[in-house]
Amino acid sequence: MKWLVYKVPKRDGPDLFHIDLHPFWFLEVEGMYTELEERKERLTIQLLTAGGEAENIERQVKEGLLDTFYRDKKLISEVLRRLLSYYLSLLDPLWLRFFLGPTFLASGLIRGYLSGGAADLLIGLYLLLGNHLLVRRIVNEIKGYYDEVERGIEKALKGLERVECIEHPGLKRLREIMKKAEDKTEAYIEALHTCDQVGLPELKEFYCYSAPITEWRYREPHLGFPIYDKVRSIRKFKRHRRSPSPPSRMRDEEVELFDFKIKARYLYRLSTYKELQDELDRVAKEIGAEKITVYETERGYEINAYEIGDGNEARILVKAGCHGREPAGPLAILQMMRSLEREGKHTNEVLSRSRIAFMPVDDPEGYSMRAWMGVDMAGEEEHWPPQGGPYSLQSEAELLALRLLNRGGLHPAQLLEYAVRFRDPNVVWGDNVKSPRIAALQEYLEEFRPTFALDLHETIGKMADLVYKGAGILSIENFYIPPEIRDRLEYMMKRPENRLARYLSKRRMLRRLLGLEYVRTLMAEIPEFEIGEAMMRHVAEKGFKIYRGEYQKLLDKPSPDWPPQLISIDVGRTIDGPLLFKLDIRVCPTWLYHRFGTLSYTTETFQNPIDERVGEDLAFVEGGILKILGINDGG
Amino acid sequence: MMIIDVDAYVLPTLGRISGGLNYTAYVDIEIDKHIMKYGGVEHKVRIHCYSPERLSRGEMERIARAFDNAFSRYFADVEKNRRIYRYWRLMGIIAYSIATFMAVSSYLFLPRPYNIYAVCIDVFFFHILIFGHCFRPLYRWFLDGSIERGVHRAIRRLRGCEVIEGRDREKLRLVETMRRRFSEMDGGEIALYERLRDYAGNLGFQAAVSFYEWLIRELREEESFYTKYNPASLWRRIKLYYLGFRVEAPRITAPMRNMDVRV
Repeated sequence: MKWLVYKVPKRDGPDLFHIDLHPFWFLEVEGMYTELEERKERLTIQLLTAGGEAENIERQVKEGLLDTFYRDKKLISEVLRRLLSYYLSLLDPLWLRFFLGPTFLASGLIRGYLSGGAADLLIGLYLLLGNHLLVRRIVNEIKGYYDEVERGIEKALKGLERVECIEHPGLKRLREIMKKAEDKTEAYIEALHTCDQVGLPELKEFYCYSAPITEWRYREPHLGFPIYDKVRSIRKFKRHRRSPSPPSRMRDEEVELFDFKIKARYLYRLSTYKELQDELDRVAKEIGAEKITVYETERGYEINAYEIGDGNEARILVKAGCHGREPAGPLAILQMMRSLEREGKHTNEVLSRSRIAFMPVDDPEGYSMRAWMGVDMAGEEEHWPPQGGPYSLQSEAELLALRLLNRGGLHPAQLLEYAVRFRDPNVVWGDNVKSPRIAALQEYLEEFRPTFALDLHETIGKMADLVYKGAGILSIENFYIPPEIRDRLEYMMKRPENRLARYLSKRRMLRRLLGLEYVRTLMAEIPEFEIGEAMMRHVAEKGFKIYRGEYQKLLDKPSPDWPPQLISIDVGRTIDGPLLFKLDIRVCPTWLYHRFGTLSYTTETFQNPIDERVGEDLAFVEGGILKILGINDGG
Repeated sequence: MMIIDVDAYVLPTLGRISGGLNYTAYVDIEIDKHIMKYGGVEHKVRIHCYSPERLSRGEMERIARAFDNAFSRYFADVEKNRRIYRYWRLMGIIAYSIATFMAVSSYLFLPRPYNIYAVCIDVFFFHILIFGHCFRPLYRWFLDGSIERGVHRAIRRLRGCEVIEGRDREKLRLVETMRRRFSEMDGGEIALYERLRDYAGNLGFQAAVSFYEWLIRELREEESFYTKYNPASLWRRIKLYYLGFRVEAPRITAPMRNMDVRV
């Protein structure tokens, strides 16, 4: 029996062992263990390397992996426990135990022995007790199964037969990149995008997690917080505009405003920010959009806005790329801008009546790195997750550095600190903003003063796919709901038939019967609700998927970190009040609403082919623009 | 020891999640059917790999390990199903057979006006109850038992796999044609796969047709781990409770390097 492990080249320091820990990894290992047991075999590890066999590799692999396994045992147990809770939630239908059981018991007692009551008594007892015994039995089975998974991994690794080194050309290429590059971050970004080309997409996570912009230095690790060597200075950036060239548009009657013929291969080729920016600049020139450089980051990446249109009726902001791991938004904006190369049915009307600002990427480094930026309350920025820190302190020898990497080689303390200290850049907007980047964006928006804003986001990644695979677009709307409407709605949604109502809400008659029409009538008094509905209608009309009822359940019980949710009745929309946080910081759309009274919407797209995600965003934005200009009512 | 020859083809695909372009090696084998057919004999699988460009040993070993992993995952899934749902279904069957029996038999003792039409109505409704809650889970239980026996028989007799370069010129020409065709197209991801599937169909390249069909189904299907194991809809929850989960045999695929022809 053989098992594959990668030896991944690093920029500084020795190569690292890597195992692809995908969500169903434990199933594969459990199956492997069963096979080993039944065939009385021992495990052979195949080590994919960039070339050449290292000395004493067997001992390194064995000790490195076992060490890591014990260190990560907690993580594995955590994953297993979560899965376990999924199963258990299905097992014990309480209505069977607590409703049917007592009912049978009561009926048995009332009816008496001769009229068949004794059997009723028995079944009542069974439902109350016997069923529970079976449930406990199943729980033990599941626990035993997962214990076996854990024991199996350990046993397989201890009984390792040998380690085979095998050369892989992809790893060779990655090593060349590491040797050639001068800057570590740039080297890792290049390696990240090369991984697909060389057929090693599972290593992308490693490079993306290990390419920080700033390295952390723990001078006093025992204090539990980092002390920085350099003094932080907030740079001031002078925003500048470049005047547009006159556009020439070809007439295209098939297109309304945006072109939905999306080319997936073309989009996939624009994987780094530089490639995307070149394309955006080219298109901006073609369509005659004004380019405004809003901010320049420490690494010299520009954050740009592109303005187009001469009207004053509406000032529309389409924003994306707040989170680097969400490529569909920026690509959707590129597609929107490309669509304006041609003159669709409504292009001239829209551009003459409104001014549109496209802000494709807020976090250019994050886009290239596929990383998540965090901003702390002092305005310090960091990309997920940072690197360095305690690990370099304990570098006893190569052996200790040889670890299985599933979190970019991070110490759990660093992860914890990151989680506690840094916030999502989307939620630190407000008057007290400390981050120079967000301040620059806010300053630009003060000048633009949008009346209608759309922020494009995504929920993708390994774990998100387990939950939201194939889900359609979701609109998150946090507009202000007047207190009287809010009270009435809350009363409506707290009623016990709420669940049933939601389940049956597709049928119009039942909707009316259960009062959901009343909710709709109430909500229709708020213009933001009406526009959101029109946008969703437009998405459906264009033939794209919308977040459906099956996933609504996930929104019903948000995690403790999430704000409480008010309504999720409507298909594809989650409507909650304005999202305010402590310390006078707020989510970008809420800031826009409070500052300028902007109608703001956030979209989420989920794991689907890239062209579909882009198409969903396109349809949503198109629906919104046509609706607010009164051209189309969303189908 | 018997040696079973199967083919693997390196076919054009697009990258997932964070973008990128790569090819995918697809081993033309269906795990469940393979186990049914060869589970009884001691055998080793020899994979003949057909790729537009020559593969290194490291890349071929990745295909071999993808083969091992897919089998391991299938075995583990079946094992899990057996351990957990045995009691799960037993629970349902006992609870509802007693409930049904009691509900029906109580009519026999009750001195109430009871005519043949009422009996017909009762039998009609209870039939659904009995069938739904007893016979169907029972059948699934036996079916799972036979699958499990087959799997354990196969675990003991399967002696791993080896990957070698394919020598059949016809098959090599097929993968090259697919690559050339792919380099000429662009569009939506699913639409691309549909066109490639149709093209492979015209070529008579059955393995590619089944690969793209599976890929399209994977992309279109809105079934996640969460919606599958803990669905929101009541009907799906009931089905899950009594029928358990169907173990799906995974397809064997491994990502390969980008072999795009630049045009």
